[in-house]
Amino acid sequence: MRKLCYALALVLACCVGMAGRASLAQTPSTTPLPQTYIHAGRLIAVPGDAVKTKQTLVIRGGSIAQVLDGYVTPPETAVVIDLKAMTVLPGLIDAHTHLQTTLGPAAFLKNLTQTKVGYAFDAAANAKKTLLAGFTTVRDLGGANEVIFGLRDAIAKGQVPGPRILASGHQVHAVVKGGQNNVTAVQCSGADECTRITRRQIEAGADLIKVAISGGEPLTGSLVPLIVLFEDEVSAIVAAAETLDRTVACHAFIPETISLCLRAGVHSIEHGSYMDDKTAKLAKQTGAVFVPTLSIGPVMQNQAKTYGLDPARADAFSADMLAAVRIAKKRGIPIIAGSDSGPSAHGANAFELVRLVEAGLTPAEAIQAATTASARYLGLGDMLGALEPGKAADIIAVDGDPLSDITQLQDVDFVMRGGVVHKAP
Amino acid sequence: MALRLIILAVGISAAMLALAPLTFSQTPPQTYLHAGTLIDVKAGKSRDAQTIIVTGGRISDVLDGFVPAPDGTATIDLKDGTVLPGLIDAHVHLLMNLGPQLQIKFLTQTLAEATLDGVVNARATLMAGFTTVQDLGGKNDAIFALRDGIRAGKVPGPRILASGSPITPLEESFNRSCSGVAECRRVVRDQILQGADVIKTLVGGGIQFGGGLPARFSAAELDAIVKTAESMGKKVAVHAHGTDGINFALQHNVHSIEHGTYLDDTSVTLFRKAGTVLVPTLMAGQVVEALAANPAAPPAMRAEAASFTRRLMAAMARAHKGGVTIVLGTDAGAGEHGKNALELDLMVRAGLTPMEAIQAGTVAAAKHLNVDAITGVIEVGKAADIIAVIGKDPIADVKALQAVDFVMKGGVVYKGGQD
Repeated sequence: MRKLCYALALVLACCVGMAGRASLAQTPSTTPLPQTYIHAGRLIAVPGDAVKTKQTLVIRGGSIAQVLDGYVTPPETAVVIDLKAMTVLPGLIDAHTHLQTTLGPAAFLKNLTQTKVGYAFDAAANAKKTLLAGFTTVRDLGGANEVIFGLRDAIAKGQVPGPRILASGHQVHAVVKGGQNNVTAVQCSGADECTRITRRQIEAGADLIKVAISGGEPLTGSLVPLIVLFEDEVSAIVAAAETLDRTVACHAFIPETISLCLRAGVHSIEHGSYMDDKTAKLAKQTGAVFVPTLSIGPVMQNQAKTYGLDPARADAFSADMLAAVRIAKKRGIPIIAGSDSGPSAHGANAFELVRLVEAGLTPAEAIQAATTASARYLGLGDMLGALEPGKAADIIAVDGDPLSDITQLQDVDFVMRGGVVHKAP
Repeated sequence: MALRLIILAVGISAAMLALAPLTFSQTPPQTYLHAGTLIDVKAGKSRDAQTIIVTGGRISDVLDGFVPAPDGTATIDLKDGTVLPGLIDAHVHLLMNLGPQLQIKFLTQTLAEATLDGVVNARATLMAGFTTVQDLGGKNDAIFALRDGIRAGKVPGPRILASGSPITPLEESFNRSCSGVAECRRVVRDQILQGADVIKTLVGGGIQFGGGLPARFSAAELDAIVKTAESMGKKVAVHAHGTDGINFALQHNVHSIEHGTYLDDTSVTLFRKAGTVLVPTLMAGQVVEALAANPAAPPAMRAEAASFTRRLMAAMARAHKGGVTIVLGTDAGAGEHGKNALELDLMVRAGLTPMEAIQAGTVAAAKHLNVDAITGVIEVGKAADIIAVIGKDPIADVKALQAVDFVMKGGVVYKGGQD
């Protein structure tokens, strides 16, 4: 179902775009070029496979039509984009964003005064930053239903520039301030109510369910759970989601809460900063993937002082997160890139790949975590994550070689999404 | 990580910062206390001629002899005194003042009035030498604001851990009710989210309200309450008088029985098995006895009420003999605020030694309240919660603690200490 929605969205976007003629201007256009040839100096078509040089990508109607050896001369009607001096790769995927959120001291006040419309404008601005940073798809894990679903649909229609969005909308918690009137979260107690709330979320437009099992929050210094759902409740959420072809992402930090989510059958562990070997083994059994959101470590370190938290604890947390990735990698748990932008900076999403390399992934593995592996996990592997005929023309390019220096991805020079150029060198 | 998480983190860290100096007046950088006798509640014995050094609100050293302070550092002379940790009362109602009008007041008192009463009662409690209390029943916003206001140094008072509204099967008074497992989970979760440090619930009615329905949660509901509280790192304190209710609660591993009037030998076994503590609230017996004088009360209730302190004492003695941990709690609010130390005298009359009574109101209470990392003993690293009586020996006569001469909380002197 989810796949179908996206396929439809693509088709729609293409149809809308057929009328006009596009330019390479930086201003976002809704118009995919009718036929585009990209001359790629170096091409990482399928991250993990060998890099090819001097390649031509033929793009038609928002999708990749052909990948050819050499710099093929296009017909007169086609546009040529010269990326001969660059490394070309698939658009990146960030599996954990909060587009409507901008964390900082002002956010506390903003939470009290900002309307949903205000959040929608913030989200649109952050979506554009994210896209221009080379992230052509995101999975947004927590924001107001109306805001993020509205933005998702507007981007799909080409009304505003931004990445493709899969969105959870409201997060599901055991209990939230304001109860059912909370702006960004819903609460449920008891399996029946958790089933109902899951169905309501999906009815409202959620592409997946985000459940937050709190506890062991990194800076409290306490490994005592704060707000937890019980296993019967998370199991009910997973069952309800699965019957509607949705996945469940679980926010959890410590082995106890990670295990609870895994036993309940969630599809991904978000953060998971204190994952230990036993938990990793369980994840291997259940088949869940791991989105370690390493970018928030340095955010915590920088902001510890602002929030009156212990800087030493923030330092330890930032390092502990890396250890969790090493444990997961050793156990063969799929690791997926997710920056937790919102708490971390929008548009700095590629820092997550830098952190993954710091944790011990090779640059190639880090790129796969944001392309092929991520697309496969999101159920969009036939559409996204690689540059092959039939896949969406989500293409980025950088000057240097990200396979030897991952930081090259922090400065993306070219961004095409669905055949539309959003950034050109 | 949601924004919520950060907010939570900040909120919780505020709670974790209870160790930080708590300034009502300015916390002095360093103070030397010369203690004639220091009661070591952990070891259960006293040591003569000790120097306690308090730095930044915490105890930084405890030395033998009267060590002179460096120039410019204040010394508090308690050479003629007996010094002990600030006392802890595990059962108070700071927002309540029982009197003939209590029930009417419950119905008519606004939140603001309750808060103001709480400010006055908190001060009286602190001045009586009680530097930490657990408030087991008061309107949510008022008691949480009082707790946080004292922590922030806005008004003087003891450290407070608070349950806020009790959770009950019936919608009585300011209680929150729940029916069914799912709703009981939700109410406990919401109560903790609103700020509860502990969950208070009732099994059976309150004696003082005689004639109330002996309401009781189902086993599944009580189990849900305990498990949900524990999942959030909190304890469950259960008001129970009757044998069946006490044993029912103990079978569900609640963390304390408050009152425990008719506990029996089965209860004692269950207490020990579950590791549950008894908070006997002997002073509440005196309040109940006062009701016996009320001709308007039903005769059966008057008869029962007349012997209530004796019954509570017998229950405590039975539990103590059976190896149950006894923690001091007065039910102040039902009784008068600021007289909390009378409970120690009643505990001694019921069979504890003065040292055991003091331990029940310091080290044992701190452990039960999960504040033993912060207070309850005088040792390095703990908050400087220190009290003293001058010219009297509470180990010889525990009544001495009913008039404390010196009160320091978090390094700030609230009573005595002048040269």
